[in-house]
Amino acid sequence: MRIFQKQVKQLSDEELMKMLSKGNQRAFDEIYIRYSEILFGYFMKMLARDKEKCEDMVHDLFAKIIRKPDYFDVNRSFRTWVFSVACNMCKNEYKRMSVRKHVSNDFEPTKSIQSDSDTLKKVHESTFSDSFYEALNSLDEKHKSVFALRHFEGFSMKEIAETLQINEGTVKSRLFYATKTLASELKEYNPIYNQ
Amino acid sequence: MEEKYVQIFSKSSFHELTDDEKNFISELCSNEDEFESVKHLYSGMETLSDETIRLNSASVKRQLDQEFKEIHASEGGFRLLSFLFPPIKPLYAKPGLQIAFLLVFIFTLYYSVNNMSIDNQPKQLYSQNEIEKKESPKEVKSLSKDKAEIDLKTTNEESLMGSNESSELVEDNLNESISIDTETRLNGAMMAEMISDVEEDSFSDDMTLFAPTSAPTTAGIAIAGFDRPDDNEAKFIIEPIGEDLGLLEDLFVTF
Repeated sequence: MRIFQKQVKQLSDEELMKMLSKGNQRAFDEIYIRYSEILFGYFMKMLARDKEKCEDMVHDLFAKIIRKPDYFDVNRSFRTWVFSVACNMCKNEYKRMSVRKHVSNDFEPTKSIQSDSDTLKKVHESTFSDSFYEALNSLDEKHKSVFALRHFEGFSMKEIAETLQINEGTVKSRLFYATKTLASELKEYNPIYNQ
Repeated sequence: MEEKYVQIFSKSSFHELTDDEKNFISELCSNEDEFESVKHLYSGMETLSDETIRLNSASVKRQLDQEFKEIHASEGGFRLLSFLFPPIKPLYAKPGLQIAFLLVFIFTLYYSVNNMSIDNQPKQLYSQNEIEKKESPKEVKSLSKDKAEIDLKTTNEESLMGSNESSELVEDNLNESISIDTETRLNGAMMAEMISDVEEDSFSDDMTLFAPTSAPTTAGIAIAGFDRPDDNEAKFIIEPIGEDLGLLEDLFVTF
């Protein structure tokens, strides 16, 4: 049994997906071990650190893999494919969130009063990470996904281009834009400017 | 390319950069201010990796394992069953149940339409026949007798006409009538005379030639009624007055 487990761990993602599509539970376990935490982290960065929602997203993504393993093209990289699915899920979630925002516009006055008192708290308690994620979430979905894939998942420009199905040049320009925006928004945390 | 960026931003200040390096990062930061802010961003991001929120892997994995088993357990020759009754879908969404409900609906529709269009009429006719049978059991007997009488009558008329074809028919009818009833055979001549007097006008020559041997005619029934006055009384819907004069009292209007 141990020998078999070792063999599964040595297999590539694509080979595991082949086995998974044939109903191999061990292959699925291995895929889950390799990608569940990474995808959860990605969703956390992309979806404003809502833990429950991100857990649901991870569950939904793996459920898709179980139900429709044939959607994966074996000639393609599993890593880029799974992240492209995750990106599309995030896009859909943003759309839903924007709809909800429009619906809940009536409650904005009371919210603003609360948010005023909250901001005073936040000014004192905020740390770099809070501000960073806040700034990241204020970015466009397309800039945010490029930035997250590059800096959190360690994707190369080529892999990002493949995942998001865009040109490498576009990836580069989006990445620069996101970096510049974040850097300017987090300027106040730089000790050089506080002195 | 990425390594080069790391190298550049690891340097302490913008002034330390060579011209090539400055050109390389010109798209990202063109002055010292921008360089410092980007550098701070990268250094700050390195601290973020430590504070990761962990996934509640056990509960998610349990659910996924269950789904995996449900989907792949049925691959040993029960694909049709798993297609008809997929375990993950809710009860109302299972194709097997949907097909079953559709079949039940079609069958009920089919039978209800059948009952409406076809079954109602025969039932009515059948019930009418039953009532007639119940009301006049004697009539049925008299009909069979009348049948025989008509046969005899036709044979007599045929013989009088003397045609070859009719004689053959009459012979056949005679044979049949003889076998039906012995009493009618004995009194056949007498009865034929009586009936021929009454029915000469009602039957034409052609009709007598092809007189039915099996089905009784309305004339036959009428003859039976004529012969038996007791049976005729039973046919009246309104009860005859007879000796009961009390019934007449209801007819007079009193002021």
